[in-house]
Amino acid sequence: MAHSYAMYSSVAVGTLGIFLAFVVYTFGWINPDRVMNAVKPLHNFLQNKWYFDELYDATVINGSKAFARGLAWFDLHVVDGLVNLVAQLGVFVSFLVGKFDDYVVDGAVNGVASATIGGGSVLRRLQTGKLYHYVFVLAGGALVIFLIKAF
Amino acid sequence: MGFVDSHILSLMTFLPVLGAAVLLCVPKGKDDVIRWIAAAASFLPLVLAVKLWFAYDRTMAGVNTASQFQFVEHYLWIPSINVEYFLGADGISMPMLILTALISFLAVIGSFGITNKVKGYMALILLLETGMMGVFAALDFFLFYVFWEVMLLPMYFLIGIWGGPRKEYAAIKFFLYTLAGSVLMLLALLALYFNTTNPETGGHTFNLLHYMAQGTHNAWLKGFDVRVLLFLGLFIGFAIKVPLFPFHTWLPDAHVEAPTAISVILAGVLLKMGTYGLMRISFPIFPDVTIWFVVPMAVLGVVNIVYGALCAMAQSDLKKMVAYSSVSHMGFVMLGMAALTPLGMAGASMQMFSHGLITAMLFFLVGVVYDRAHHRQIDGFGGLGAVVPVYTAFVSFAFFASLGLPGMSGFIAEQMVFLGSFGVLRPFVIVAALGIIFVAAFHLWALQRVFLGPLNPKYATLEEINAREIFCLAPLGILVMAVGVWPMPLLNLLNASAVRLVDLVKAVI
Repeated sequence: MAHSYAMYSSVAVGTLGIFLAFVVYTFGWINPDRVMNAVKPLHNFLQNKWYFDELYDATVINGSKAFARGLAWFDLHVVDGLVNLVAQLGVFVSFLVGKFDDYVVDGAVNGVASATIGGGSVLRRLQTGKLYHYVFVLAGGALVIFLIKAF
Repeated sequence: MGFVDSHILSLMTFLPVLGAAVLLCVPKGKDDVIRWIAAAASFLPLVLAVKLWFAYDRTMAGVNTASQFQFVEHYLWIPSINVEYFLGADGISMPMLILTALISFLAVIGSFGITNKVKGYMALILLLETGMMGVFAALDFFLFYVFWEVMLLPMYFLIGIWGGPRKEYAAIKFFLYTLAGSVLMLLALLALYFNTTNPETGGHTFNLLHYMAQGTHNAWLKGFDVRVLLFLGLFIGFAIKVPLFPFHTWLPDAHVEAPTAISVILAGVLLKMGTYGLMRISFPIFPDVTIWFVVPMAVLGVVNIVYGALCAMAQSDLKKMVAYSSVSHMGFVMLGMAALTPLGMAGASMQMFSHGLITAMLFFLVGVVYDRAHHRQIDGFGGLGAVVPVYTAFVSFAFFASLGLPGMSGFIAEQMVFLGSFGVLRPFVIVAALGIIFVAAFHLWALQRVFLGPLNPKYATLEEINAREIFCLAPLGILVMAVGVWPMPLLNLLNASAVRLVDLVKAVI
């Protein structure tokens, strides 16, 4: 039966271990330091639990941390970068629209105003207040109408 | 008590803003009077919420049947365009109404430490409560939209005036981002209004329940392309609020810059408006499109869970870590909803409630240490457990609740989501379950770095958590435990509606 093999072998290994401990530490037949020095690399390996903690640190833990840092960088610079880019684009477009509004739309409004002022300052020269100027224009106008009617 | 009973939702909604009006009349300098008026104005809705809890008939499902809504108030508000003042509660809104009342009250108490412009602060927080309550109580889309926008304005000022160093940036980002979503919602609202007819009056309508009866839709609105477009418009509007990847980047900024109590409200209540909107509006009005979008929604949910957890792990600021943990947890809500099973939907509702409690605790706790140390760098502490054992116990409790330890509300909710979605969305659930490892990892890692290890001598005399702070945390902790150990009462509250909602969506197959 497999069960009994397992039982006997584990009891045997356990007993052997207990016996060995007696041999080394109670009877003093074997010097543990000499054994340790003889198999130094193996001793280190076992002492450090097969370096499992270091292995986990190097792979799973640092890997996860690095991946997390990478994603956080992606989140801050790419995803949020895109959001900020849209915002900056909005600001830029609004800047252009603002300039357009200043120079073109409001320019047209101001243009009408300055055209009115300019036109007024030109036309006011006609308002001389001198009667013979008006009579002259009146006569000229009548002449023009007469000529148009004639032809 | 007749008036109170027949207008309970209106009172819950408008008592806070009434309180705000009262405290505006208090002369300058009487900050304590202002604080206590604000506390009273937010405590009354909580009392009414308890009343709701006991008065609510758990056998009525609501969702799409007007007669099965409870505490209904239905009047014509703007007759010329058929806007209705239509409030009512069902199993979808009940947990949210209770949560809002509780979190708002605790947030006001938690804000007693604010000394700068107390009157304005308290008035805005009360206005915010009105907006939130209104969103969860409204059954008319126009009314819903009004409350949705009402809530935006106080939030902008609360972050922008009382926030941290980058408050202006965070406030305007929050406002514009949410507004961009609201505009899409507004377009969908207009499209729905002009293409549906109220079967009772023959006019156009904003009544959400009419929208859910597919017969009210005209031929244009029945076109699948149109429906997909409208669904997407609403979905993006709500996804920004949840927030779902890739619309989530306003959240870390807003949460980190907002004052403690405002972060609590933001994470505890505001995020739920997104998923609530999907349940209340998107799913029942567009069931066919919902089914079409199951896989993309599940993908977004899983991305939120894993991506949020990994981003949280990489943060060096404790508050930012908690903010990203919200992204992760809201992913569970999305996954549960996407499954379209009664268990998944109920799990999503449970998770909304549970996350509201847990994240409120987390933000309160981050605020506690920030008030004392004036920074939140995870690596800037160390060994605090020896100095502030009570605080450490509260943080450990909240962290374990947040990572889903059995016996606490998060575990129940997440398990329901997993159980409800495993049958239909198996690969997604497996990835999401693996994501839980990262959720646990960043919590434990932060716990270790802040509270364990050698004591950082700079904080050898750190002040222990005080009575007012414990007062804010204890009710949340008790509820987290209560729901975790005995979830039936809460489950019964929302179950009938979750089942009805799933039936309603599935009915189109």
